[in-house]
Amino acid sequence: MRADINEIKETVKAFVNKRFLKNAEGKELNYSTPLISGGIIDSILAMQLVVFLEQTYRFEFQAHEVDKDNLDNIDIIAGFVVKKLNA
Amino acid sequence: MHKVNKLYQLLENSAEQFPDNTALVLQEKKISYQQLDSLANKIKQALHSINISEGNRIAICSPKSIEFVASIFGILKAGAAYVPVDYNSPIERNNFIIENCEVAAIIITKDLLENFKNNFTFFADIGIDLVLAKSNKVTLKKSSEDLSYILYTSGSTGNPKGVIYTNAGALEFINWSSNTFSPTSSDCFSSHAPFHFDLSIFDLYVSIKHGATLVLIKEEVAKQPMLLAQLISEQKISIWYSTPSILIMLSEYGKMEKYKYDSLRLILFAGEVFPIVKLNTLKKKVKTSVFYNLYGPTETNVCTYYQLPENIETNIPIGKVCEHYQACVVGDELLISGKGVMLGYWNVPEKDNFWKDQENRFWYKTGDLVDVAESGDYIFKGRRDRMVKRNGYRIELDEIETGLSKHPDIVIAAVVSKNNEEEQMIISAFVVLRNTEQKSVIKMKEYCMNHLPSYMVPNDFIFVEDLPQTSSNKVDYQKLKQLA
Repeated sequence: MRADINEIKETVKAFVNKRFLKNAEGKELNYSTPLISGGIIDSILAMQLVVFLEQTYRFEFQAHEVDKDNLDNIDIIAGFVVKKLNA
Repeated sequence: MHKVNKLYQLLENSAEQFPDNTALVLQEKKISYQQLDSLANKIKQALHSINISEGNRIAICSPKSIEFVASIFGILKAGAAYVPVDYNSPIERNNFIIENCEVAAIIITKDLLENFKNNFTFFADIGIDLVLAKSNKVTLKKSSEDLSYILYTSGSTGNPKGVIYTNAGALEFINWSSNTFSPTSSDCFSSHAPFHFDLSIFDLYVSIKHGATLVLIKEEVAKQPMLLAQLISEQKISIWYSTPSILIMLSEYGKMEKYKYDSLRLILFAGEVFPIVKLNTLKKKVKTSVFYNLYGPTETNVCTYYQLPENIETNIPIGKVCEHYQACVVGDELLISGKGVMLGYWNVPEKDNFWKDQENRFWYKTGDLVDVAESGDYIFKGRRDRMVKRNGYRIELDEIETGLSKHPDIVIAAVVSKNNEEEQMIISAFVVLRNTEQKSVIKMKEYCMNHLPSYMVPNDFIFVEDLPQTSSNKVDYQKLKQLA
């Protein structure tokens, strides 16, 4: 499956806003907002994000890939998804 | 075997009886009982060389490691008590703990020492990764020489409070665990909880008492269900102990079907309610295991227990009182008495948490409201106060409010909790700002990450102009709960 990186960013942003930032009115989050280190998602919510990415883009996370290094902001997430889809 | 009345003797006995057994495993590292005991002796000598003696308290601040465990036993061998400090918590909270219980020294990783340099002076390298630093304070309060550890837990005053344990008190629970679960030297225990949580008491001392192997789980692995599933299988864990939150995460997101868990004979959980639907999902994935619900606040450690039957459809009881305790119910509240109860809180003189009966016996008031089933099992109903459990962590909502009230833009904040439809605890903060242009949920979360332990960061922030009040001019928490 191919996907445009900007499209991925918008899709992830919409998901994070809807699921994890319901009182932020959708205006605050940007692509570089720290999600894990900024306290927006904890380890359980991170897994919800992982499942969302796996289902939306049809790839599988390896155990060691579920990590802050791949998930801490939308830019990083989109880059990781593109890398997985091109692998 | 020598008679045991101190925790460190559990290690010394096993080092004599099972010198070559593997005591600890951490990723690719291993250490035998004999090696662990001699490392602990080395740490004891380093402590003696800076005049640490009985009645002192020593902080430890480090990620989980083999040296951490050796330091615990070194401190205990020196006759001192250890105070584990969460290296992930905000520095101000950790400094409060260190100053509150007047530690004489700290054992810490080199990089973390920088955070405490006003309080401590570097003294010596003692292990591979840890250093010993001595307190700059000249006079320190001495405590009873039987103290073994102080575990800090969330406090309703807004500051954490230190639960004090003696060697004798801790051994009550450890011996009860031996009798109940019959571990052997071929068992392999998980060490999932960090050492500043009371679940670690079981992991550390029951495994070491029996010459078993303890698998230390690093903090970053501990929260990652796919890695946990792999670890349980590959390390052949036979006795697992964690909060239900972790087991639920493992069952829902761990891709458990990829591995086998034939060694896993016992799954113990404690710290919060395990929703029955989630438990039954997990049970199908580990069919060979026996499950126990262990209940008890840090102040008593485990005080009631319940072995799960084959099939269970109703809410899981917290079970019957452990054999080393007595329990009674006064006005729906569960009270516990016995030698395993904590000595008290550090520097908190009042005995509000205890009730003295007509025979002058002290009972610890758990604050938990219970029913008694026909079977005699206790059933947890809720709390008397504003303490909540989220993901197994104990949180006083007042501590979050106190943290928020220090924010320069916040006039007042009120925090409420409720369960969502998934039976997860959701914490909502209602915040009145000085300047409404400042309202940003993301900035609030960021602030909390820097000033509170991460598990206390509220899920939701709701900005309001005023907090609703009751007729007696107090914050109307009932109303806020409806709004949350």
